[in-house]
Amino acid sequence: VTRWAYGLLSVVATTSLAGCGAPTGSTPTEQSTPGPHVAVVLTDDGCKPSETTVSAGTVTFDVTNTGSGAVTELELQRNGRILAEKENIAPGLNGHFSITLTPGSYELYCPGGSGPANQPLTVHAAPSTSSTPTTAP
Amino acid sequence: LASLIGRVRTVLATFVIGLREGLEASLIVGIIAAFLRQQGKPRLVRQVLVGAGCAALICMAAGVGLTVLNAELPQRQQEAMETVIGLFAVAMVTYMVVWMARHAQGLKQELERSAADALVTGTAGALVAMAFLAVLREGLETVVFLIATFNASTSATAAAGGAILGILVAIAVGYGIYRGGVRLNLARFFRVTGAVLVLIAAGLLATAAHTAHEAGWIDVGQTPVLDLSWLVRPGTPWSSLFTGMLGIQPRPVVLEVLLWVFYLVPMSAFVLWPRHRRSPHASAATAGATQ
Repeated sequence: VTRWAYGLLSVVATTSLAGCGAPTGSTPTEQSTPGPHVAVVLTDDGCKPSETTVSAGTVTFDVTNTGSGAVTELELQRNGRILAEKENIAPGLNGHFSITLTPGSYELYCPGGSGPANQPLTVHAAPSTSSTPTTAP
Repeated sequence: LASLIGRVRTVLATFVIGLREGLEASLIVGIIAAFLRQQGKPRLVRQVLVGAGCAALICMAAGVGLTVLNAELPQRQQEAMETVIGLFAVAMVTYMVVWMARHAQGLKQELERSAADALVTGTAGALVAMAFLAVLREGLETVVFLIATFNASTSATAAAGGAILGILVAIAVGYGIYRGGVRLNLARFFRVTGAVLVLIAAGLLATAAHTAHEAGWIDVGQTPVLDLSWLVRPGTPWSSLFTGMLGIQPRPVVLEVLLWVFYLVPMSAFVLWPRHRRSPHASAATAGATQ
């Protein structure tokens, strides 16, 4: 009986905490992460990044989904190796991940859509002076 | 009307993900519970449920912790954990299949029954642990997903509702497997589940190959060889069943297909082969031999 009580308690805690976290959690994270941001929109065709080239360093990928649910994940790959990913981005949800990238060719991979699943992404050397972060729209 | 259609689409999209993540856990828990119940171990069934419940609570606490700390789910570590537990599940299910195939013959014998009791008691801990781990494997990702639906930018209620509905249906399916498994008589249960378990274990192995790649452990054999997206159409409830229960990806890669085939073919042969040849005569002889 006590176990079920704990279970109920934690369900209540989960919902209430998630509710409290909602207004403060979602937007500030995207702005507080330094470095360039790439906005990636998942559609039923595949995905579309806001930039195809980005400067080296810590890059943050902000993922949103405007499709109907055929595509729900974004992977960042280099030579077929998965470097980072974000799964279960259903329509209306958003997510983000940051990763430090060195110059070279990368691919964004969003399986499940009707169009091509791969989108190229080029990372070029960061300027030696203070880098100007490209902000996502 | 457009907003209503949009809302229904949102419900469906999150339902599909909740169902898939939930099925991956509830399937194993349901099978283990049915197996133990068939062995006349209702107390162990309760332990399985407690174990699964504890894992669910740990996942909820961890999910809430991640949200409070505003941290991302460490995806690589998550995939690594899924791989290790997945391989453990393959070993466990394989053991169950082999054990059932060996014992399917002399089930009516009281002697066999007590031998079975001893065997099950010996591995009960592992079975309970497996149920716990199965929920832990998918639970964290599911909780993180669920919390994300609460924060959905558009129609959060629809998104969260769909996800919760998907998880509830997955639990109902797990319970259905348990009830169905309990209702079958023991000999039938062994025969039916033997074949189904081989299929499920092959899927678990393919899924482990998939998650191992996502964990960054394996990079070989990653060329897609089949396009099953006509069958496993991404974003449909049907695809949740195929991917969640049978581990079939829409576009499986070489390694996944190879592992699937190399597990499925010999194991199916092992489970199905002696059954065709066994006559009442043969099983009487085996029963006689054990006495």
